Amino acid sequence: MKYLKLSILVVLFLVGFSVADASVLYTQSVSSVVGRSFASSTPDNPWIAQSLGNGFSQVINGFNFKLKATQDLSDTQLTATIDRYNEDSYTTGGTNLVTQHFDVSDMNSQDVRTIEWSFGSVTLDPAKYYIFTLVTKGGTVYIDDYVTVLGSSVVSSWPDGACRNPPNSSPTTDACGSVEDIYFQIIGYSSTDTHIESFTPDNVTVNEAVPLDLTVTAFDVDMEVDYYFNSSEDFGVYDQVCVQAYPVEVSNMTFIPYCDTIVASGGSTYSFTYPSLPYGINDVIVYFYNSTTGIKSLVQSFTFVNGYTFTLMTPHPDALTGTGIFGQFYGTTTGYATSSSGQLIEDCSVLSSNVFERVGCAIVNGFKAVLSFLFVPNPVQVQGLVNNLRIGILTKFPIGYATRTYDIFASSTATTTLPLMSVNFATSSPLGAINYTIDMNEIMDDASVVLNDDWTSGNGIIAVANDYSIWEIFMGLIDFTIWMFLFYMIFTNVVGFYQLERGHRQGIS
Amino acid sequence: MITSAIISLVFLAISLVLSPLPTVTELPWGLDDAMLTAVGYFRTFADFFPPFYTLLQAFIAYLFLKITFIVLSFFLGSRIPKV
Repeated sequence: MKYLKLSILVVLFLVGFSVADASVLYTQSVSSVVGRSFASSTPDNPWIAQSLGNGFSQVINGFNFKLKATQDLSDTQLTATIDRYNEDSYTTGGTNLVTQHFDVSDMNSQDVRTIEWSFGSVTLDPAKYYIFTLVTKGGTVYIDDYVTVLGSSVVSSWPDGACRNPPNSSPTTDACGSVEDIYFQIIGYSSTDTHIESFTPDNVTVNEAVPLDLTVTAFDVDMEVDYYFNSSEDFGVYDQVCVQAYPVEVSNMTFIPYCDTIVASGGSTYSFTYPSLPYGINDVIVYFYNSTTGIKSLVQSFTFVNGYTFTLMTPHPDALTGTGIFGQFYGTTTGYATSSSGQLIEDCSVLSSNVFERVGCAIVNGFKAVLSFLFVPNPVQVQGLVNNLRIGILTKFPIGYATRTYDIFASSTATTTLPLMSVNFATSSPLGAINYTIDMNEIMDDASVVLNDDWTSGNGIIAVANDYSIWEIFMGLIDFTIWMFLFYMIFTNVVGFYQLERGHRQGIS
Repeated sequence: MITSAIISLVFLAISLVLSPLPTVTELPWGLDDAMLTAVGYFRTFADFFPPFYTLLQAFIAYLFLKITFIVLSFFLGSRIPKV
């Protein structure tokens, strides 16, 4: 038996090492939002195109993008196409692969809609160059969110990735308006190189422009900051926009900020590389900065204006194996932002052909990473285990009844009204045949109004800066009492005091 | 890796043992609808009186503890404190 346990442990250890040795970017969640207006120089035929570059192989079966209308689109039709060309100039060999018309005429101003464009399997040729084109007729469409390539693809090198004039278009200049790039995503690699296994856009709404906190993990991280302001925006005392990294796992360590002068009218783009970020998670903060006084805008609340965009690219495709993802966050008048997080396990295998820096493969860091990988469950794995536990065990008879009861208490929603209670007096009573109906909603509504009224100091004896309702005054104490009682109940249950005390009361020793 | 693998094996084994048992999707005898309605009423009531919402949360937490004990008792027998 002892040898059996030892054998199992050795096998698991070896399996773990072999897996850890492989290069896997095993978790990745990125929010991807682009907020740039899509206004054409030809209002009757506005269009925009995204060069996807070459290197795509295998099959794609869908393309997602999100739109935001900046005005009522009562007469707007949208046509999306993916075309194939022979070279990166997109001039010869043009072949249309898929075309789809989308009716967006029912979109009103500020409406946001995700277009999930699914089509039959399209086999791509890695030697060809592909381009995604949107054409609208009537109205102005605002490219608001990410563009996603669904399916398995391999990119040999990062394509230009820029918005461009559609092939053979007229006019030939600046048809993209303020759009510089429609970012897209490539998932589902089967390669053993460093790659992205999953990619989950997750938008986050914030009320302030800064700081926008982004978690990345990589070694060399290339970033790009794009920002766009209306000329009427007031920047206050700030004249620069900065990006700065803070390694989470190394305390008291910061990297120098990269700053650039704010361009008030229109926008600007600047790119830079954070070299050799420590292995682990790094927080990246974007903020405004006054280069004269040194004041940062970390606590400054900004009112975003339409077209304000930050883009952070990590990891940059060139820093890896020609593949890339984009985490982007941006702000609009309502202050939207997204964040992204990722965790990179660098390819430390001997056979690796990756060309990026291998600083994370040093013996100490590498061994530490491998041990962590072996013994510390990944949050995604833990979540999967919990789901399996729930599906495979907790929902089964008879435990399922307890689980279902818990679910009802935990997930049921409040009703819109409280029940009416009726009292019918018997015909033999003095109040015979009288029916009283008690409306709890009215009673509760009145109580709620009274209890939620702000209480003021009145005679000035109580000096308070603000007025508070009865709940705001007492809820802290009530919550504390309830949670302390719960803690007592749990504690006594766990250590057995409750049963011991109950046993004594019942004469059981 | 190893930790999750061990836990996965344990869960897999337990799931296989329990797989013939039926999956509970709702409480019997109309209790499911009744409880959903009742808890919905309670949550509405708690909207007016926030302390009751805290009470509900505390009860849910306590219920989770009890279920945890039930599950542990189911698999470990008397090796855990009695509840």
